Amino acid sequence: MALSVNVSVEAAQEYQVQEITYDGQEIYTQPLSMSENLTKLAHKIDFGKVDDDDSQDHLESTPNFCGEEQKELVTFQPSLWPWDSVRTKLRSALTEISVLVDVLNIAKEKRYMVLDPVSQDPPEVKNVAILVAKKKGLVSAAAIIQKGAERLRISQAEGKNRSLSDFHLELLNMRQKWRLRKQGSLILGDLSYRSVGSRFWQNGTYEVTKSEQPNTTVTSLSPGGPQVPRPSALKVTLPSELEGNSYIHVVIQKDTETIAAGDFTSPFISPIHSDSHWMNKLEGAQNVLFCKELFSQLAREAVQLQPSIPNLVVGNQITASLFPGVQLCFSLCHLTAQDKSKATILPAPLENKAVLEHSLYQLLREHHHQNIHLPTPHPVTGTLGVSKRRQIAGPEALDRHTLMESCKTNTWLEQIIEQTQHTILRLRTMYIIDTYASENKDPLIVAHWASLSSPTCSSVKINIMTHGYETIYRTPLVIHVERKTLKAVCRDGRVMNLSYEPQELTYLLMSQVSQHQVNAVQCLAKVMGWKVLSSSSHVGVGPVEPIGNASSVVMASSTGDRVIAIRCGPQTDIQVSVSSSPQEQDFYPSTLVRDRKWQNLSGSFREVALEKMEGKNFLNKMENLMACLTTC
Amino acid sequence: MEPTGRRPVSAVPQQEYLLQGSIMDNSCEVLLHRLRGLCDNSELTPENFNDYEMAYQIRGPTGTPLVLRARQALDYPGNPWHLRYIGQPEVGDKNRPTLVRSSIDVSTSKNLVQFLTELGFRLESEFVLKGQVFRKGRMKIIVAKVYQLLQQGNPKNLEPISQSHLVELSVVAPSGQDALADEVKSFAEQLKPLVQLEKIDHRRLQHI
Amino acid sequence: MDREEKALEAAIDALISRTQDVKNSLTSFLMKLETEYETINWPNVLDNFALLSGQVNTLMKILKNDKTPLLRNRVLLPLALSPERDEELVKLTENRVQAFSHEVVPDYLRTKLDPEVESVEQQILAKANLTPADAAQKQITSLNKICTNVIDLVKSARDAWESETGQRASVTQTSSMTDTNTLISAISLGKGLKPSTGPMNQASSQQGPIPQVQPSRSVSSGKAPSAVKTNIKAANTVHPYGR
Repeated sequence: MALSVNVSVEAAQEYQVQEITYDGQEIYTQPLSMSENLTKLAHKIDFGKVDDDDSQDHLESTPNFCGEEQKELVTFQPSLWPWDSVRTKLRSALTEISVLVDVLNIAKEKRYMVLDPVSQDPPEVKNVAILVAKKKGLVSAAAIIQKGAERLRISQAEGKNRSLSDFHLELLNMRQKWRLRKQGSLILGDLSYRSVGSRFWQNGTYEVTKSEQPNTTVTSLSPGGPQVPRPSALKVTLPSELEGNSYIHVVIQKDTETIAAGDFTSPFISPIHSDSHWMNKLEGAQNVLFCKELFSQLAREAVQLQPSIPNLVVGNQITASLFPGVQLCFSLCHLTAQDKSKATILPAPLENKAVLEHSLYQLLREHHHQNIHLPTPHPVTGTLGVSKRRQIAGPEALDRHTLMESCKTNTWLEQIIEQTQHTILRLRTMYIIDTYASENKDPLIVAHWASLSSPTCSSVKINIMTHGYETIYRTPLVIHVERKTLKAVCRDGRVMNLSYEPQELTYLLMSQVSQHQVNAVQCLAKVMGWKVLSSSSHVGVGPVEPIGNASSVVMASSTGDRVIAIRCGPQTDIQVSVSSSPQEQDFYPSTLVRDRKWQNLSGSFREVALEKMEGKNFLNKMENLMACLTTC
Repeated sequence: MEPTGRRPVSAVPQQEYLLQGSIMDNSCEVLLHRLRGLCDNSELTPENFNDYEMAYQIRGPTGTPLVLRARQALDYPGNPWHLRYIGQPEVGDKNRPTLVRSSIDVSTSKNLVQFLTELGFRLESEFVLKGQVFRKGRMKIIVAKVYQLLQQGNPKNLEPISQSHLVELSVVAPSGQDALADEVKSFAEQLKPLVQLEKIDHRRLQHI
Repeated sequence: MDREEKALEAAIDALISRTQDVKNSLTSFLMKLETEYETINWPNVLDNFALLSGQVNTLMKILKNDKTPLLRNRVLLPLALSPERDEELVKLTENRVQAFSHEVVPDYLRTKLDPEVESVEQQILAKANLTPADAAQKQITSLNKICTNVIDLVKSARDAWESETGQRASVTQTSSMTDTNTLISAISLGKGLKPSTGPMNQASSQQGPIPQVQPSRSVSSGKAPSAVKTNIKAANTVHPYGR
């Protein structure tokens, strides 16, 4: 090693150089006597120290460094040592060259010294000696080059069969997917969304280093056994607050019970260990950053918004009320490798998770997109980053109100609340219709949910019909489910606005069903050749219905000798009464009615016991009834 | 229009940080390609523009000519016109990375020319810029060909004035944001050696 | 004779300046090592070595130059010793030699080689003596041949490399300063644009670029923007929708 060069060259000189100043001036010391030297050296020996550092020890025992210089050296010796041999050699070179300069200068002055011409024999050319010297020089130069070449060869050979993948290849791979830059000797990456329009304060800088994993263990495992994935040559160092994985837990609570919960996460969520592949780590960290940005924005809005029931922001949780007794609750969950125990108590995700998750995701992405996709002004000297409407505001002389209107946008929280309200309302509507349909088999209620819908609006088409008589009559009904209200469009084009209270929809369905029955019977009557004498959808007589109005119809047979009256209320059952003329076959004269002719007047209505009749459903029974009452 | 008396509004004057240069027509494609990669929204097709600028001048009571520039987007006839006042550019010393000039921008209705003429402004010069515009954060980069009008007031009859495209890199911001200037400068560095974007002293050009 | 003296003078001057160069680089290198030992890296050190080696090479070139008189035929002859401090000498030698005295001179005029160097030389000579003359001659020719070959190889490799980098460096010119000036003076000053033909504009195009107008413009330039600045303030109060 170069370090083993002894620095004691100067010992041959009469005077020791105590110090050489930077301009090359030498300060000499008087030579030490033998005993002085010995004491001095003895002083320098650190008896308490184990002699492990060769170069250090060697340095200290070098007699060349003494006096002041020794003191000066001590300050930087420990870290200077790799360069020490170089320095010593350079110093002696400096001494020599200084002498040369001085001699030349003095000789040039010609005062103390001159270059005196003498005649000398031409020098004897020692060709062989030059050959040997040159060969020696070449050999040592060649040795250095060969050593370097050998090293290169080894490292290349290693690259081929090493279990660690190539650092640079992998770095290239990373560069294609992530933002990287070199700063000084560091390779830094940026996983923030700033380049796509985010303005979140937190930066996502990470450092990429070469992994120093020992590769021996893996190489011994891989042959024969199952293919072990090669450990990556890259190591990423993330800021601690971005480590691990994160998601936003969205829950809709009704009082205390959970209606729907969505875990907002990226689809690739899996616990991230400290030894995961860098790709997973980075994706996880990016997701953490994303969730944080989203949550901080939601929290800010929750505080700013002033709804009637104030929003609660406590720690990592935001609660906003949707309907009376129904709350929406966001919580930011952050899992790191350390607290994996938390991950096990994840609440089971319920339905509509995808919708909420996606909506949140979309909100932030849209926001990012908007930030960098503002229209370019034309003419191009116009101000950048101004919306189209603001650009024309001046020239078009828009008033304050119009401007304020155009600037108004819903906050994310409002948007997500609206979406969630709609979701709840839709779920409720679905539940009501399904329950009603399963409780009432006659008539049948069929609901078709439209596949095309928006996050805050969907619609359902309801068909009320009777099994077996679908073609005779059906009552269609369309219900638009909006954010807080329902809008029902009836068969006759009437539009009804319903609130979010579930009872209202039930009542609507009940009245629609009762009207359906009456209307269907009328259609059936036509087919059967009966005449509708009168019909009313809102009967003013009879017992008062608790909700809505009863409808009725009176029909006569083709010959007019039989009359059927039907009354159907939303909550009361269907009543069917029949009267006939002549009233009865047998006539017994009484004191009041003496003549048989009076028998031809239609008699009093008698109620039919429907439940005892044959027939699958009401219309079927009516058909039977009409058929048997028809006289041919 | 009294600035005092009403509620105090601290009007921060807008400054334009500007670097200019040019690129020869045959290398323009390379530059556009590079800009597309460097700038925002590289997934979209680059935005073209076709602007017609008229410089109007009025001599004030002190005899100082005041120049206002009216611009119209020929390819977006429905858009408002743009009126612009540009202050004297400050070149500054070597340490200042960009040219700085004050700038006042306002969108106007289409009868701007008539208005200016009635105020006493006179048309001084006019030209058409056709090219592409790029954005990088708050920076605006234009690469455009400058055309002169062969016939006054007819922006359809054009003739290019050189074999190069004009390249301008600018940010308009409230004054004092000198960090932006460094940003502009470092972006300009990335376009070297294709284009040398520099501080061009307009006053020096007057004497060439 | 006189000419020879002059040549010698010149050679000495050249030698002094070259040696001074070497000395300066050595000093700065040492300084660097001692003050920046924490940050200095290997390529940096190699650069310094390369510099030294180059300087030593130029020094050697001067020695081998044909114009340089044979220094071998000159000896250093001390003319006078003086124990007195000589300011001129001090200045000449940068404080290293204060007096050309008996203390210094033997040191300075030492001709014996360093023991290390001496032993190396001895080794080489001993080895050289071992080889017979004719065999040595053969070796010399073959070594020369090999060297020429290697030099050719290296040279051609260097040429190939240089032409490659040269190609890369000689990129065609992509921008021109004159065009930049034309374009910018056109858009900012209206210079070089076709003068408008309208009667109204003829007047303005004549007046616009008159040089006399320009000084007044730049002198009072401070006023024009300030007048407009007040306008912004006033205008801003009108806009209620500040961002």
